[in-house]
Amino acid sequence: MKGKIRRRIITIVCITLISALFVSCNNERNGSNGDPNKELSVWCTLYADIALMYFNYAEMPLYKELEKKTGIKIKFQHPAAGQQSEQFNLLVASGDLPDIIANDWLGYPGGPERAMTDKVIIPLNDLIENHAPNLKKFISENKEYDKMIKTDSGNYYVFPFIRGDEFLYTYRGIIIRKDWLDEEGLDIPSTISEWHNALTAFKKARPDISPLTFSSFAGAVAATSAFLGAFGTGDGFYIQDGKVVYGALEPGYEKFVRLMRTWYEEGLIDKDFATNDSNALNSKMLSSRAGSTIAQAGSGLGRYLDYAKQENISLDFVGCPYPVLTKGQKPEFGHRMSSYEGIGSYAITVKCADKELAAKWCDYGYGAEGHMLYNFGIEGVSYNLEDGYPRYTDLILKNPEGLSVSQALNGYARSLSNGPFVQDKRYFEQYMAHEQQKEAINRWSNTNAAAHALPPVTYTEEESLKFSKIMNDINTFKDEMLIKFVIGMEPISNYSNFVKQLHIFNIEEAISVVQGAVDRYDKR
Amino acid sequence: MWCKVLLIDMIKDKRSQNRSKVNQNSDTYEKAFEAAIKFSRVVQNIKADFKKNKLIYSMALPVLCYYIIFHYAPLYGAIIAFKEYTPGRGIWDSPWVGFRQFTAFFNSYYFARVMKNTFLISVYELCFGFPAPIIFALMLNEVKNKYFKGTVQTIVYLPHFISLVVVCGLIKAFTDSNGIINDIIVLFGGTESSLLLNPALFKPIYVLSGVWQEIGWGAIIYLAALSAIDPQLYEAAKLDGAGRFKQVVHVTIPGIAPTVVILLIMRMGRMLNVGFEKIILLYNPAIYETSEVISSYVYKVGLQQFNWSFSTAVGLFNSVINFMLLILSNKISRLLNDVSLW
Repeated sequence: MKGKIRRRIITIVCITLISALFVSCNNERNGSNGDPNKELSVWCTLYADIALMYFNYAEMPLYKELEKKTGIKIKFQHPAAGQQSEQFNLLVASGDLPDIIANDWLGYPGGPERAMTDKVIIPLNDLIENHAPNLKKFISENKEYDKMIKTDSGNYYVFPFIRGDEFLYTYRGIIIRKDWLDEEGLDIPSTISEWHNALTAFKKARPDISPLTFSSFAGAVAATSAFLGAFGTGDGFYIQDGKVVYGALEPGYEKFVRLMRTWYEEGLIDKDFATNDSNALNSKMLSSRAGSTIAQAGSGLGRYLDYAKQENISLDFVGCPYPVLTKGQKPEFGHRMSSYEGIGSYAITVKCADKELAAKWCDYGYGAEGHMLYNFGIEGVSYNLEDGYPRYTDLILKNPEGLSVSQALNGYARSLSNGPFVQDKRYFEQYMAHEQQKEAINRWSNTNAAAHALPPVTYTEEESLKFSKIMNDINTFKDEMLIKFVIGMEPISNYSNFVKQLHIFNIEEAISVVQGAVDRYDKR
Repeated sequence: MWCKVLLIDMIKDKRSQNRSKVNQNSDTYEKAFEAAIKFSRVVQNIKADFKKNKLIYSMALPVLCYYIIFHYAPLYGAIIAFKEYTPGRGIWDSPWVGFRQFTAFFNSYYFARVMKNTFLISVYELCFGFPAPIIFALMLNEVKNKYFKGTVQTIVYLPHFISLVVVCGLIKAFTDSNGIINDIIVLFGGTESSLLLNPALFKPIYVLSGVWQEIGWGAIIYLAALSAIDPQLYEAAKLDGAGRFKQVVHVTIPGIAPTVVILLIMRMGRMLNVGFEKIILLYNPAIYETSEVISSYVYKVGLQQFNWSFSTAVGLFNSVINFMLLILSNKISRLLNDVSLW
């Protein structure tokens, strides 16, 4: 009898414990939507540099300050680094959405319109009208942004990340070892033949190195059109004489592939260029095993120069203008982002219980206070106002703990990454600490790329289904063939077959979809 | 309880039948009656068994739950292979499209490539990856020095414990144009090249590195089977004049044959299940042609390109083929040597 009672007690205790577990799980879930504490949940990427210092944005001084100012507590959910897109897909598929999601909504399959019909995010027209005074003021004063952040049917869908000045648009291009050029008595190359000379000279002087290297070749070419632009062709979809065209179908593209093939055969291009990841690339550049590459002004050029200074080694890089065929020509193509690209933009989900509160939080960054906070951090800590100019303190520029400028800046402000605010030019002026960086930006931005760029178009649901089906096949195929042509796995004489296959994949249809979307955008 | 009711009903029925003297169906009725009694006995036995061993049964509960929650319940989601799934509408409310996703896959440019690669990698793994641990275990079994044996065994199964990401990093570094393998090639007068850029080399690299990583771990089960062989058999063989090699052929190999067959059948069931992790960590656009397999394609299409329904259809297709292979190999094995899973 006694044993029976004891057993019963044990059973009851076990059941209570297990159910307590479930209850506590449930409580946690309720908490994120609960409004009494003015709490919101935000899903956004934790950038690698920030992750070095904080496990969660909530620990960042910037967000603590933001919580004080707005009175809204934020619970951040971060996807694992490097898996943002997969985890975003899982998040959407699970239907268990937080209040706010930061993502590239233009990249959502089917575009922002589809995200709304999928019941993931909500249109923001009423919220912006009534509860987001700062953003409302900003877009009413800058009509071109107004056009960018809504769909063709006139629905606003995000609190956008906006680059506030042309100076911020270009930050990627070709860099080359200046000290090696000087050794050979060469000028900074600006034409394809000068490039050939320089790379050949590098190879002659140092047979073991790779004069030119890349990491994720197809991606780098797509972003910058480096070398490709010399032949009057860009990559992917772009605008030529008012019409949408697709780069790989243009005659210049074949010439570019031919050039890369010749250079690869001559040993001017790194044999491992297709397998390099960014770590491999950095180590090659820093250990003098490569002479030039496509890099970013901050995380590439800036980092290399910092390293050279720190380790006190002679290593000097300069940014080169985008190469052309005849000297003195202005490059047609080059790296140029537009003011609104879609990335890092904050949308409110259908699951959000207090949409006005969410709108209020997102809107803060477009006001005067929020602008300074997001761009420069906290006054007196990470910046000081000198004659109205927000100058970063030594905590950022000469970090006592030995952090690089980008790491320190990422710890205090979001200007280097993104968020719901307008990026300030003054951050970039200070971030480009080396003379070579400023020089590089000036050279890289001297192109006609703006004339060719696509606006941030949106597709209808049907269009996007068609478009993504066609382009998924094409993109994989193109990446593969491009590398095969360069390394000689596929003879260049087969280029016409490659083009034929693109037609079989129905590239015309994709072009006409983009053309239609551009036409609608222009009519907005 | 309901069994008893059934039984009583039947008995009543039988009586009434007897009374009406309609005996045409009495033979089948008799049989059914016996079966019902048998069945009720079985149920009673199970019930008694449950009562007696309820703690033992409760230990099986977590495993049962695991299979129900993680393997059977998600089967429901497989119906999106026949739909055009969008998360906003949910699984049930997404529109049905029949076999459209499947035909799209069969007509796709990548279908032939993906099938071929999956099949070839599976076959290579079966040909090289499966016998390798058996051979290794047999060889190790012949080593008499205990310390040497222990050391070799430990060293060989260490790679199993290294994370796949690290292993792939190692493979990439070794096959790089400045890597150790190229150094050796150059030493013998060859020219260096990036091995992972050569489509012809991907499968050998994939399979051999797999053998290297798993050979020691795979050998454990065979070593266990080897230790279970009765030593008297060896002594008897020795008396009959069998040398070392003959002992292996006539005692050792028959001794572990059942284990080998069972493992082979289980392996056949996973035949076309080439995992995507290692593929994705190793491949690059230049070698998609020989490295893209079904699972990496499913990952790419489903999780990177948001094509949920399509990728589910591809995955389901793969599972169906696996299922058929498993049944087939089980049947063949039963026909050939009476050893089978069921």
